[in-house]
Amino acid sequence: MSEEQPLAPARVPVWTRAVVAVFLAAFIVCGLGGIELWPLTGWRLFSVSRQPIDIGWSAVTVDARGEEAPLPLGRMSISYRGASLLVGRFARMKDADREALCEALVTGANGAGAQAVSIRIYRVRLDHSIRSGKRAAPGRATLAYECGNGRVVSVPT
Amino acid sequence: MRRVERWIFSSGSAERLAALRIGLCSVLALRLTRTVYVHLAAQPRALFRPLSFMKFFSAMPPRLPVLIVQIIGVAAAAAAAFGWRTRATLPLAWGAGVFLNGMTTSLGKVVHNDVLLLLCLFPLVFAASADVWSLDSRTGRTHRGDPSRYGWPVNTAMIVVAGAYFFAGFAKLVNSGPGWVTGGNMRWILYIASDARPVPNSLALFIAEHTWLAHLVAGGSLLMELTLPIVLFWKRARPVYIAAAAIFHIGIWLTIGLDYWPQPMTVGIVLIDWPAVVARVRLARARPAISPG
Repeated sequence: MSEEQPLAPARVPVWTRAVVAVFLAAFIVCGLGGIELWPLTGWRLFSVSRQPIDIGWSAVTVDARGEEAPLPLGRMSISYRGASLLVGRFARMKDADREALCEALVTGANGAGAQAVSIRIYRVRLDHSIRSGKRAAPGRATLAYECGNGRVVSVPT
Repeated sequence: MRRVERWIFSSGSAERLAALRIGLCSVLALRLTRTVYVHLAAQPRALFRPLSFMKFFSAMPPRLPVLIVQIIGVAAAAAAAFGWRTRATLPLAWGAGVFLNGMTTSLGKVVHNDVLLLLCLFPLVFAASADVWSLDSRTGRTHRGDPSRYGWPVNTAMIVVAGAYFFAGFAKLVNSGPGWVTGGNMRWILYIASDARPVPNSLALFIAEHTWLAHLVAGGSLLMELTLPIVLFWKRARPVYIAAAAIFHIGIWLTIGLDYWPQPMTVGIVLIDWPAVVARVRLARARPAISPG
């Protein structure tokens, strides 16, 4: 509060002061409480400590011969930017949402030049503390789901 | 509390507020020229994960309305930067910015890239930001008024800048505690980011492989975030924190690949006293002319 200007609070209209008070109150409450009312936000950027063991999900395409290829996310439209995040939430989705996501991924992959008929989703366990050169040593991938043509098959592990 | 209120609503300079308008609206105009919004408009419904007001939509809005909003947003932000019909163009630009960036944050993850810019612009929506340094003032539509009109938008934006960094540090302490610095957290952030890229990131790996350096980076980042509110009380600290924020975001971009350039730009635009900078430059230019030689 170092500004040297003279003080003139009385001349600022009441409505202006009310707008500022409500805005700052909402900004502070969201910031302190970690509340997301975008564009007001809880500012939880990288706030949870990362661990070396990363259990994630990875999707691959499957063609008519049953051969797998990585989901070509880099070549797919920007609108698929969040797809990898959603694959990570596959286990928590309703069946209808899983089917819809799967269809969208098949369509998007084929639009990027793949010849996919279905998608396989693997649970991948990677330990970033075990290095192999400049990369993490290969992790362990376990098939969890296969989906396509309007059906989702959960693979027991 | 009374003291804080008196500070927020203290008198200010019309030029300082105009500089905020010019800077923030220019950054917004540039950000709204991105093609991402039109690409997102074609998103399959299954990928739509709305946040906040975007929950009123069942899918990403169609391409044509998005394109129209984008064109209006860019034009309005540019017009507001020039100070043309600012009372209408600035709110329009802000609304377009919130709507379009609401789309980018509806992909399953909260996107913060433009949040600070939009929040700092919010007080200007209600402010007399075009009384000087604007086309409106040149054409006689606006006139310099009472200094009480110009202080609060700048001071509110400064609180938002300080708060944004402080709350980011605060969230780290709440969710992780001191372990965010003292544990291996920064090493794993950098390793995970590098491993996710097609080509490993040498700088990220260099820091991650030197534990002391990873702790230093984590400690420095947290310290910067938690102490940034000092800029509200201590004017001389502002250049240090502006530089620190720039280094912080350049570091994030180089190591993790996250491009947050609107955020340090917003910090600089809000915290630097631009009229004082202009005055100094003019004085420096005038000096040789008046010196006896």
